[in-house]
Amino acid sequence: MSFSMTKSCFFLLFLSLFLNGCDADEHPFKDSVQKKEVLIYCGATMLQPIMELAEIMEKEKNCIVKISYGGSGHLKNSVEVNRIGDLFFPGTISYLNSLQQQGMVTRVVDVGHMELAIFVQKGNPSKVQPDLHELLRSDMKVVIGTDQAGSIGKETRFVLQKQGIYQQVLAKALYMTTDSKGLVQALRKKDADMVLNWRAVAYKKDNLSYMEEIRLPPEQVGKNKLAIGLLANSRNPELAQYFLALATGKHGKEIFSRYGL
Amino acid sequence: MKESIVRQVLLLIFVFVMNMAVIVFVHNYMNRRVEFLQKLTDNELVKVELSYLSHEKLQSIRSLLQDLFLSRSSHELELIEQVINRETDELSAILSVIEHGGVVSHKYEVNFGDNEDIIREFIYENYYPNRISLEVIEIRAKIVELQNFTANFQKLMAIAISNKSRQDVSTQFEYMEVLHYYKRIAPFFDRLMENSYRIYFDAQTEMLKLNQVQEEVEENFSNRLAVALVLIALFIFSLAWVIIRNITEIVRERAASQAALQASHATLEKAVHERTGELQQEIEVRQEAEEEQRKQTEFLKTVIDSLSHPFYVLDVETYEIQMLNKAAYELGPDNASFCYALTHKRSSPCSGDDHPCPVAEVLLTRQPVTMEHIHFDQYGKQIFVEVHGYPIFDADGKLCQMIEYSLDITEKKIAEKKLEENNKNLEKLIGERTMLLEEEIAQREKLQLVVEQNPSSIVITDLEGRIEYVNKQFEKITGYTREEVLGENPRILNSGQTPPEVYADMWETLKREEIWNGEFVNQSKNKQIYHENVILAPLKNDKGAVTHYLAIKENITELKKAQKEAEASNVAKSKFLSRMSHELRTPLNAINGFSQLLLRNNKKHPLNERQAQQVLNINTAGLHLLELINEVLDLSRIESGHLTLSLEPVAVADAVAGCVILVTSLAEKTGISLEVDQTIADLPQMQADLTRLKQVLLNLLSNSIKYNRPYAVIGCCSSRLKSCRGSCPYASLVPGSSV
Repeated sequence: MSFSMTKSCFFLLFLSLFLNGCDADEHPFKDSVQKKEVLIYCGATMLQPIMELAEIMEKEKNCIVKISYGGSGHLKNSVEVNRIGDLFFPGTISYLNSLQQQGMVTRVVDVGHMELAIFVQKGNPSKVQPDLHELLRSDMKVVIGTDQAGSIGKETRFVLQKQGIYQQVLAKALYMTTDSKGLVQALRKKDADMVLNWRAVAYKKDNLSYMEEIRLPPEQVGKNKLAIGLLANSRNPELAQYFLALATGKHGKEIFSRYGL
Repeated sequence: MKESIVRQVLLLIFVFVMNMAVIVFVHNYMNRRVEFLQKLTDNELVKVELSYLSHEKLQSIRSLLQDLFLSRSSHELELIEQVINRETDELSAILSVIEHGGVVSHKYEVNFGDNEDIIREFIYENYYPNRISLEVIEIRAKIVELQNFTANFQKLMAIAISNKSRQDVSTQFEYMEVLHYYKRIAPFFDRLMENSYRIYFDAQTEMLKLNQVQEEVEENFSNRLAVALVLIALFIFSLAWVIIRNITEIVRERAASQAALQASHATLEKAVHERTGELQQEIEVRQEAEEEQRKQTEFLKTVIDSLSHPFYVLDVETYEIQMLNKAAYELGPDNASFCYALTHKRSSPCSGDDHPCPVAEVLLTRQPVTMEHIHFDQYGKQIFVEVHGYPIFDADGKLCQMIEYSLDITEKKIAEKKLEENNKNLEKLIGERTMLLEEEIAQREKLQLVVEQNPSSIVITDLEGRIEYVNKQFEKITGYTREEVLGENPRILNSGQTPPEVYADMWETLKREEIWNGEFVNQSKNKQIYHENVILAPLKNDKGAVTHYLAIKENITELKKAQKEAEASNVAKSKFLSRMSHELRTPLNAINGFSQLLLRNNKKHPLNERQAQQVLNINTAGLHLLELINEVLDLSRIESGHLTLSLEPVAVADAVAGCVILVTSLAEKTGISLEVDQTIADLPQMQADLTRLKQVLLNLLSNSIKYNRPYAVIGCCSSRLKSCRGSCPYASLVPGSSV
C-alpha cells in the first residue's frame, strides 16, 4: 500500500492539467494551414516545370505553393481582379509588360522561350505538311486558341494574321479554347484533326501517345520570350524571390530545358 | 496497523471520488470535442451546398448566354441580361461567403401550398480566412470576364437583331462575330465548371476527412474510456481487496494476540512466584555480603588509620575532605575541611607550574598522578612530600573523588640536594678533563697525520726489533703492506750490501740510548735495491725507560746516484781545467815575457810612445789573464781536492795592512773610509798560507766596498775565539761596516 494519498493527488492534478491543456475547439488540420503560402499564376503550358520547382521549394522552405493555371490572359485578369498572389508566369511577356506599367509587377526575370507548331493525331494520318496554310484544308477539323483568353490565342492570331489567313481559320475553327491545355484536350477527344499549339506541349510524355508535332519553318513562326514577374501584392516576397532564384538557377534552367522552354 | 487501515480506507474513497471526477471531466471534454468536430463537418456540408449552388448558377448563366444567342428581340435580350446580372451577383455573394464566411440566402421556388418559394439561409464559417482558395479567385476573375463577355455579346446580338431585316454584307460579318463569341462560350465555362467542381469536391473531401476524424475521436474515446474504466475498477477493487485482506489479518492477529496474552499471563504468574522465592534467597545472601563488607570496611579503615602517611579522600569539585586517616588528621588544625587548608594552611587550592594542584591534574588527565609538594605540619614546619593522587569514578564513569596520600621525602630531598652539588662538581671536573683530553686527541691526531703522511718512511719497533708501526711511505718504498710487516723484524729489508760494521755501530749507539744516523742499502719486496738515510732514536716513556725504537728513513737512492754522477763530472771538469790551465800558461808566459822585454828600454830600437802603450796593454792583459788562469787552477785543485796550503808563521797585521793599501783607492772613489782596529797589531803570528789569507782578506774588503753605501765606514777588528781545538789560537778577522 505504498501508493500514498499525496501521490494520487499529484497524479490526478497532472491528469487534470493535461486535459485542460487540450483545446476542445482546436481544428484537427490546424498544422497544415499554418504554413506560409505562395500563389503563382502560371500559363497552362508551363504548368509542369512550375510544379516541379514548387515541389522542390515546398521541401526546402516548408511552405505551400499554390498554382493558378490557365490561359495567360485569364490569369492576368485574375491578378488584376483579386489583387493577391506572388508570381505571374504568362505564356507571353506582353501580359507582364502591361501589369508592370500598372505597377502591379515589380520585377521581371527571363526564363526561356516558346514557339508554335502544328499538332495532329498520332502518326499524322492526314499527311499534314509543315505549313500554316494546312489549317485551311477542307478535310481537316481545326481548333485554335482564342485571343481573348491566353497567350496561345494571341500568338495564333499574330502568326495567322501575318500569313493573312486568320479570319479564314477563325471561320473554319470548330471552337476556340482559352489555353493550350484546351487544344490538347481537343486532339485527345478527337474533336480536332489539327491544332496550332505551343511546341512545349510535345514534351509532356502523355501527350505524345496520341498526337504528333509538325514543326513549322522559322519564317512562319518566331520565338516567344518567357518571363516570370514578381507581383507587387506579394504577401511573402522572400519566398517569391527564392522561387525566382530557383527558376533562374542551374536546376531551374535544367527543368525548363527538359520541357522544351 | 489500525491507523494504516483507516488511511487505506480514506485513500480508497479519495481515489474513487477523484477517478469519478476525472471520468466526468474527460467525458465533458470529449463531448465538446465531438460537438466541435460535428460543427466543422456541418460547416463543410454548407460549403458543399454552396459549391453546388454556385455550380447551378454557372450552368444557369451558361444557358442564359445560349439563350442570348437565340434571342430574337431587344426586349428578350434585356430580360436575359437582367437575369444574367442577377445570377452573377448571387454567384459573387456565394463566392464571398465561401472565401470569407458569412450568410447567404437562396430562394427555392417550390410553389407548394401557400408557399411559392422557400428562402434558405446558408451560414458558413471560414476557420482559416488567410488561406488562399484558388478556385474562388479564379471564378471571381472569370466572373469579371464574363460580365465583359456578356456585355459585348449582348451588344453584338442587339446589332445583329437590328440588322437582320436589312440582309446586307455587314450582317454577314456580324453574324460571324456572334458565332465566334458563341464558340467561346463552352470552353470559357469549362474552366469555370472545373473550378466549381473543385470547390465541391474539396469541400466534400474536407467533410469526409472531418467525419473520419470525428469517428476516430469518438471511437478512441469510447475505447479508452472503457479501458480506463476497467483499469480504475481493477485498481479500486485491488485496493479494496488489499484493505479487506489487511482487516482480516488484523482480526486474526488480534485473536492470536489475545490467546498469547493469556498464556503469557499464566507464565508470568508462575515466574513471579519463582522469582519471589529467589529474591528472598538473594536478600539473605546480600545481608550476609553486607555484613562481610562492613567488616572489610572496618578492616580497611583500621589499615588506613594505621598508615603513618597522611591519607584522605577528596571531592574533586569542592576539594572537601570526605575521609582521612589519623596521620592526616594530625597534620592540620581540627577544623580543616579542605585539602589545601589541611596540608598547606591556605585558603585556596594550589596552582602554578611550581606547585600544581593534584586534583586539577587528575581532573585533566583522568589518570593517577604523582608530584612533589611542600606541606606544613601542625607546627608550620616544612615537609617535602611526594603526593600520590588516584581518581575514583562513579558508575557512569564520571570522576567524582580522588584518593590522596603523601610520603615524607624530606631526607631524600636533602640527600638529593647534596648529590646534586657533588654531581655539579664532578661534571665541572669531567668538563675540564674532557677539554684537555680533546686537546690531546687533537694534538695526537695531528701527530698521527704528520707520521702517516710524512714523506719519510717511519718504522716503530719494540725493544726486540719487532715492527709495531709503519707509515704509508714505508709501504710505498718497500712494497710491503702494513699487515705483512707488523710483528716482523726490519731485517727483512736487508739486502746484504750494508756493511756489518754499520749495524754494529747502530746497535751500540742505541744501547747508549742515543740517536743514530746512518745509511742502509736495503731491498724492497720485489728485490729492488735502494739507499736510505736512517735516523734511529730510542723512545722513552714518562719514567725515562726505553720502550720502543723509532726509525725515520729517507730514500736517497736518486740522491746517491746524482751525487756519483756529479762527482764524476766534477772530476772530469777539474782535470780538464787543470790541463787547460797548464796548456794556457806556457804560451801566456811567453807573451808576458816578450812584452816585458819589449817594455825594457831598448836603446837600439826604442818603442815610440804609442807602441809602448800598446805593449803595456798587452802585458797588463796577459798578467790579468795569468791571474785568472791561476784562480781557475786553484778552483780545480779545490774541487779535485788537490789544493795544498803552505802553512807558515804569518804576521796578520802586515797582511791586513797590505790588503787595506790595495783597496784604499777603490774606497776613496765612493767616499768610503777604512778604519783598522789597533787590536790587530796585538795579534800574535799565526800558522797560515799567506797567499790564501791575502786572497780572503782582499775579497772581503773589496766586496765590503763594492756593495756598501757611499760615505760609509768600514772597520777591521779582531776577536779571540772562546774555544778552539787543534792549532789554536785562531782569530776571526771580520770587516764590518757602520754609518
